[in-house]
Amino acid sequence: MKRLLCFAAAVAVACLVHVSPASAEGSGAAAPTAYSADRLSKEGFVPAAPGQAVEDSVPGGLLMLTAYGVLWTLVGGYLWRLSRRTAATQRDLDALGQRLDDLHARLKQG
Amino acid sequence: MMSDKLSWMAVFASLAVLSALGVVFGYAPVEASMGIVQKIFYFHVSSALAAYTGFFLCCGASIYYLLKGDRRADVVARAGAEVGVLFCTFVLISGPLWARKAWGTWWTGEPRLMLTLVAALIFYAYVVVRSIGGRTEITRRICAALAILGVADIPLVHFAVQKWRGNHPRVLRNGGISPEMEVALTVAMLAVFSLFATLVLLRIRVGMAEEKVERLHRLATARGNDIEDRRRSPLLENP
Repeated sequence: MKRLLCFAAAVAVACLVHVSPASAEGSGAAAPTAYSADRLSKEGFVPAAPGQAVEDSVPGGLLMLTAYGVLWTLVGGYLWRLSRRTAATQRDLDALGQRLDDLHARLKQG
Repeated sequence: MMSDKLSWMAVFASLAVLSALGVVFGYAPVEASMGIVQKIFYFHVSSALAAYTGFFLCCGASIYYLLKGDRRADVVARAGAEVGVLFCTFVLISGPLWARKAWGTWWTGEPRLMLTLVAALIFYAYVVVRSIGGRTEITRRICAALAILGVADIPLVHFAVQKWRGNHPRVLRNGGISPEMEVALTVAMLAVFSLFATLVLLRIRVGMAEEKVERLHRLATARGNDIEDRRRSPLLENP
């Protein structure tokens, strides 16, 4: 029984060591998937080789599409707001023209 | 004439934006460690520079307004602030979207992020005060002071990476982007800055028209009162 427990403990320790991040780092052929500001400052943005699989655990494409969607939504919204302001200014200008006509008429009357 | 030039600028900006999208997605390579999300970089960096340009424009025009009292400078300041806020908002949204993939988190307490947020909040306050404060002299002066305060934060944003480090990579000065990526960044810069210039000029044109209408309203009111006084005065003298 004691031997069995020792064996089980040894297997558990071996499993933990095998899956630990330190073990993963030491496993050699590491693709440059982990973000590191230091590495990027030294190496810069590295283009992926043709056909190289790029890890995508987080949906990068969706995040990128969202970002570009936000940009065009903001620009479109701002243009819409400007067009509303222009329309309001035009209405003000029309009202002003009407008011000036009235003034002119009153001036002629008296 | 102005409108005609603006139309041509808008056409140029649209073509530049379409070209930039084509180059970013069709020509620039996918980055090896971050994947396709790195394509946010081209418009993210360009928009950050456009936002700073808008804030500096706002600050310069505000100083001129405070010194000379020229209303046209105030209109330019407002245009710079609004368009700067637009691009800064994009930077503050696209940054976390990129960071979620690259850093594994939406936001960190990194100095550059926090200082950019502070600058954005100061200029959001500028836009809000301008909107609710009306066209009064005090509102214009308070906002001019806010613009100067907001711009004082921008050099800190720029030097934050060099002074305090952080998660932002320094790839532009170290030759850290491939020639294809450099071309894409240049075209994206051109596109974003032409869009920026078009929006600022459009906003200035609307602002100038609003100022002119307001001045004419004041003039019409004064003339109207004048006519009323002239009509009443004979009656008052000879009842």
